[in-house]
Amino acid sequence: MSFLELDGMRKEFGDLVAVNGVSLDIEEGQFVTIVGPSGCGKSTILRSITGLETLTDGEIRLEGEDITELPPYRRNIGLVFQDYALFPHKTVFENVAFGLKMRGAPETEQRERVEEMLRMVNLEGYEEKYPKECSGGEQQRIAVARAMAFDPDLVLMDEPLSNLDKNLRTSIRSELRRIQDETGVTTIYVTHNQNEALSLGDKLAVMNDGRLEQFDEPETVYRNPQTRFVADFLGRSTEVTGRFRRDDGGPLVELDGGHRMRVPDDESLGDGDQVSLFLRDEKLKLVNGNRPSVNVIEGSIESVDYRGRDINYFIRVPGIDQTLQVSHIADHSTETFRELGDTVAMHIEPENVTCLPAGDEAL
Amino acid sequence: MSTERSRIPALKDRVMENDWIRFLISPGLGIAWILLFLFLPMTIILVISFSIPGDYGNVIYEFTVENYRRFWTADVYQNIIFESLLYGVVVTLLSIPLGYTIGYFLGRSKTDWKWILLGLVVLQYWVPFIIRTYAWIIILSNNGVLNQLLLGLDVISSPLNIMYTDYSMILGLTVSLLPFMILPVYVSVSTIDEDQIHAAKTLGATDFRAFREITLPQSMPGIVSGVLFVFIISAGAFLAPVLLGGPGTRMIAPVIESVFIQDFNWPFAAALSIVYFGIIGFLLYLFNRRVDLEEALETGAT
Repeated sequence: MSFLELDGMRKEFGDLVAVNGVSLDIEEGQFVTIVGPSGCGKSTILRSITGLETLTDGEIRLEGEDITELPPYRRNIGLVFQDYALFPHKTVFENVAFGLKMRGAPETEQRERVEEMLRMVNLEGYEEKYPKECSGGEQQRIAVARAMAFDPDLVLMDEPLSNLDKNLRTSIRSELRRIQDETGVTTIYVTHNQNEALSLGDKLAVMNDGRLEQFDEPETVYRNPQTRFVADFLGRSTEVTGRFRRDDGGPLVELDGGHRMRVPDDESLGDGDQVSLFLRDEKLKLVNGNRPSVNVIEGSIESVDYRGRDINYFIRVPGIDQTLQVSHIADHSTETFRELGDTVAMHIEPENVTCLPAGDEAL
Repeated sequence: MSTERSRIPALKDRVMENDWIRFLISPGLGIAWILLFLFLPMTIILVISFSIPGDYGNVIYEFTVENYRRFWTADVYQNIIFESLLYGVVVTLLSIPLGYTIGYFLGRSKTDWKWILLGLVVLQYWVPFIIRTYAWIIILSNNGVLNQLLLGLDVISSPLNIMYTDYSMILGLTVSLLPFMILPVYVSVSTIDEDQIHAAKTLGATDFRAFREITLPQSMPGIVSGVLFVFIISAGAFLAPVLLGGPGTRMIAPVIESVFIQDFNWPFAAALSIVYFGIIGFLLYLFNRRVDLEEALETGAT
C-alpha cells in the first residue's frame, strides 16, 4: 500500500474530459512533479486531491483511507496556489497561522509554529506585515509557509513559480527542494516547465490530454521516453519516421529517405513496423575527422542560432526531407563556427536514439 | 498605416496643449464646481436661516438666532428629526441582510445571466417613484393583491391594514433603496479572488468559517458604503412618507417642505435644514471614527 494512491481518477466538465483514468502511487516523503502542457489536467488532479473538485469517477486513498468524498477542510492537505491566494486583509502571521487557528491551536502554539515556519522560508520578522507589502518572491514563500504550518499529510503546489521572474524562480526552486528535504513532507508539484519538472522531483509524471503518459524517475523519463508525446515534450528533438527491421548487425531503421539508422533493440517491434525516431539536439554530434561507421547523416546548414553557451545548427537533410536540430557546445573559445550552406555530417550513438512505434500514442 | 498611427499621439499633444481643455480637466475646476454647486447653495441657506421671516413670505436679511431658538424650544421638531433618523436606521438594518444576500450571490455567481440580473436590480429606477407607489397600493391596500391572497387562503379573517402606515413606508423605502446596498456589496464581493476561499477551505475552514474569515471582512467596504447611502437617503426621504406613509408618519423632509411652501417661512425652514444637515454630518463624523470612510469608499469602488 502506497502513502497516496490515485486510482482511476476521472473528471469531466460537461463534455470535456479533463482527467481521463489517471492512476498514480506515491510513497511517503517523495517529491513528485507532474508536468504537461496547459490544459492537460494536471491542476485538476491537484484540486481533486484537495477536494476542491469532486471526481466524476475513481478513488483517492491517503494512507489507505478513502478520502474521495471528504470535504477539503477534513483532508489535512496543504495547497500552494499559482497566484498564492494570500488573504490580503490578514497579516503574514494571520495568514500562516490560519490553518492552526482553524484547528483550534492555542495562541502560544500558533506563535511558535509561525515563527518556525517563517524561519524556514527565511522571512523572520515578517509577522506584522501585510501581503501587499511583500515582494512576489516573499509572497510565494509565505504561501508555502501557510500550506505547511498546520503539519499537513501532503503538500501540493500548483505552478508556484510561474509568476516569478527567471532568477528568482531558480533560487526559490532550490529553496523549495531544501524545505522538502528538511521537512520530509510528501509533496506533489505541478508545472508546465520541464526544467522544474526534471530538476525538482524524485519522481516525474508526464501528462497529456488528461492521461498519464509516463511515471518514473526524471532521468529514466528523459532517457527512455515510453511514448511519442514524452519524447517530444521533454528536451528538444526532431522526429523522423521509418521502418524497423533486423539484420546481421542488429536492429536498424530504414528512414523514409533511404538512410539507415542503428537503434537500440526493442522486443515489441517486428520487421516492417512503422516507427518514429527522436533525435535529441544534444545527442547529435557534428563529425570532425574520423567518420563513424554507422548513424551518420549528411546535410547542409540552413540556419544558425548562436546562444552563448551553445550554438544551434539547423541542418537540412535532403534525403529525408527534414531539418535536424543540433546543439553544439564549442570545446575551445577560438573554435570557428560552421557557416550557412556548409555541408556537414552528424552522428548519433545508436543507444541515444529513441525508437517508438509510429502513430501510436500510448504503449 | 504608419501615418495614421502617428497621428494619434500628435492629436493627444494638440489636445493637451489646448489651454481650455487643460483648464476643464484641471483639479482647480473640480474645486470650483464643488464651491458653485454645493458650498454656495449651502451658504445661502445658512444666511437665510439667520434672517427674519417677513409677513408675506419674504426674507428680511437681519441677523437673528430666533429660528434656532424656536427649534430648540419646540420639542416637536426635535422629535421629528429623531423619528426620521429612527426610520433611517430601521430601513438600513433591513437592507443590510437583504442587500448583502443578493449582492453576495451576484458577486459569487458565474452565470452568463449575471448582467441581466444586475440590470434587474436597477430596473426599478426606470420607473418614477410615484408610479412605483401605485404598485404598492395595488399590492398592499385593504382589497389589494396581498390581502385578497391571504383572505383567499384563509390565513387571515379580515384585511391587514398595511397601506398608508409606517410599515408600507418602510417597505417601500427598503425595496427602493436596496440597489444602493446590493451594488457596493456586489462589487466588493466580486473582487475577492475565489482561490482565497479555496485556500481557506484547504487550510481547514468550513464554508461558513471561510465566509466569516475571508469573504465578510473583505466585503465590509461594500457594506459600509451601502449603509451610508441607504441611511442618508432614507432618513431624508421625502416622497415615501408623503405617498406611502400614514397620518402618524412624520419625517423631516416633508416637514421642511411644508414650512417652506405652506408657511412661507423660509428662514425657519432653512434653520431646520441646517440643523438636520449638522446632525447627519455629526453622525458621519462618528461613523468615520469607527470606520475609515475614505478607504472603505475607495476599496468599495474598485
